[in-house]
Amino acid sequence: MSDTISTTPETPRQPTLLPEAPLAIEATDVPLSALPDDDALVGPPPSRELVEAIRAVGVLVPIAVVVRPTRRRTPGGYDVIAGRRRIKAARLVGLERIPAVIVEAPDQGPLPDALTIQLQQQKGNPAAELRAIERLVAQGADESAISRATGMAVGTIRARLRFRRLVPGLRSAFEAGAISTHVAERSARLSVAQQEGLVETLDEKGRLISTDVHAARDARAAAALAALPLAELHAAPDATELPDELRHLTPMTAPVPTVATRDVAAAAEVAIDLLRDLLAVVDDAWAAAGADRDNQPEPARRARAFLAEVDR
Amino acid sequence: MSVGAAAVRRGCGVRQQGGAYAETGLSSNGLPLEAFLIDPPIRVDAEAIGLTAVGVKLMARADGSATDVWDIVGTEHYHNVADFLEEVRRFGMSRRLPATLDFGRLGPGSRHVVLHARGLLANWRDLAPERAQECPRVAANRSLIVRGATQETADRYCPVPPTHELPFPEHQTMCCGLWWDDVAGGAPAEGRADRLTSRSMPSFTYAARRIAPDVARDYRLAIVASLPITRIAVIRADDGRHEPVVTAAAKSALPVALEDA
Repeated sequence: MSDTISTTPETPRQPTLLPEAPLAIEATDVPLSALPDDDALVGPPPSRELVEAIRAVGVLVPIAVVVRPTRRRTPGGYDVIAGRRRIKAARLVGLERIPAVIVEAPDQGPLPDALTIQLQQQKGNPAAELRAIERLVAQGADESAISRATGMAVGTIRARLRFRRLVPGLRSAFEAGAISTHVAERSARLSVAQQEGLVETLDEKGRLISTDVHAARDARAAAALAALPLAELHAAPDATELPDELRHLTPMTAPVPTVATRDVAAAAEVAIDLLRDLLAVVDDAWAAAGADRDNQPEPARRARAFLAEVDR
Repeated sequence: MSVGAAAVRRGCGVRQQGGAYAETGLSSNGLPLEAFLIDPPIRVDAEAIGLTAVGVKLMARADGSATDVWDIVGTEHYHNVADFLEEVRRFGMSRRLPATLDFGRLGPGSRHVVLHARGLLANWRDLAPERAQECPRVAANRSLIVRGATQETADRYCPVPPTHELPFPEHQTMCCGLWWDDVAGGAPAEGRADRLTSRSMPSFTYAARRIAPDVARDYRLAIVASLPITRIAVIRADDGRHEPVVTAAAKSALPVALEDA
């Protein structure tokens, strides 16, 4: 009898991205007057082609909206998930109603996170997206699951999660809309100390702009640079007074013992190169003296013969 | 005679049309590569400095004498520090600069400051017992004397790091020679007790060592070399898109050369 106990591995509980009970979804027409004004619909205006297409055949693809039952009769009571440009185009051509898929959210409590994310994407509110993503992460959802549930790209999810690096003072300002998304993104890359400095700047000036973030970043770089022992970096060989030729590197053919010479074979090659170089010096000296090369001393002739043997 | 860097396939690929490249050229009267190594390597906090793995950063010196280009050499293309340095030794340096760089800040005194993620081995002492070679800077200093320089001249242009005044076993800091004793990815030589390894790069092969292979390494990003920028090469593009790059590069006080890919 085996001592092995067979067990079925416990399947990790999948995070609940949507409520346990299915949401009520209906497809119908909604009056355009019940939808948010164009000004509240973030994003570009509809293209001329879209307007003309809707003028010709109407809206063929329903928009998606979410509504709480008690707000159905309230003008602007619907939140748009998808179809901002279709709504604007429909208004431009004078339609009164538009086909829609309506998701009915519970009257009480927060909207499901997946819906919140889709809504906030429409509204261009990264801070709210971050909060919703954080809740999903807390439930154990990974980036892929969040992406599948919300349609948000994984890269965007990661970008939103980087806001978590903001110190509390900047995070609250970001969530309150007191600093722009761009400034928040840049600030999140800085150290805690630098971000604390930016919080002080925000308190003093009442606003924070990219220039402030850049200044904090540059100050940090300067301080870090000053702390480095850079004397050798610029001193030897002297960077500014180095003659032009010496600013170049000796090519490999020159007889420079390199670290590769620590290998015996390579050392032999360098020694041979060195011998060639020395013979070239002898030749130059011999020629400068006007002497015949064939009459060089015996050691030079023997060295030349050795090199000829090597070359063979 | 001096020339620019050679247009060969490098660890990071071939030069791209329309690209601008900082070069350290070769010259028969030039200095050995070792003269430009930073020994011991200087550890750097990339985030604090504002360096990223992609692109370069211009850094003005504290005394305002020059502006240098700081550049992290990626380990995906040059896994070992020696991979990059041996390439530079053979073909000169060629590193791409962004077309949007403020070239006007570069001049003859500008250096290309090379950083590598494996530049500093924090636990270098763990590998020290197997090392036996002298410091490359010492060898380079001596090579200048072999070439006819006086000791004074050799010390001026290729000084021996003060930390290396003691014989190797008594070094107090990591020696840059470790970059050639700690090369991964090479083909080990059969039957060699000295852990000789032959490391192949796209355009060359070099000999190095892989000592103490069982020792865990604790690498840190560090400055490994400070190379003079001898010219900027712009690579000619079939569609002429190199022209604005040449114009931008000409704002520097460095020679600009239009080269073929």
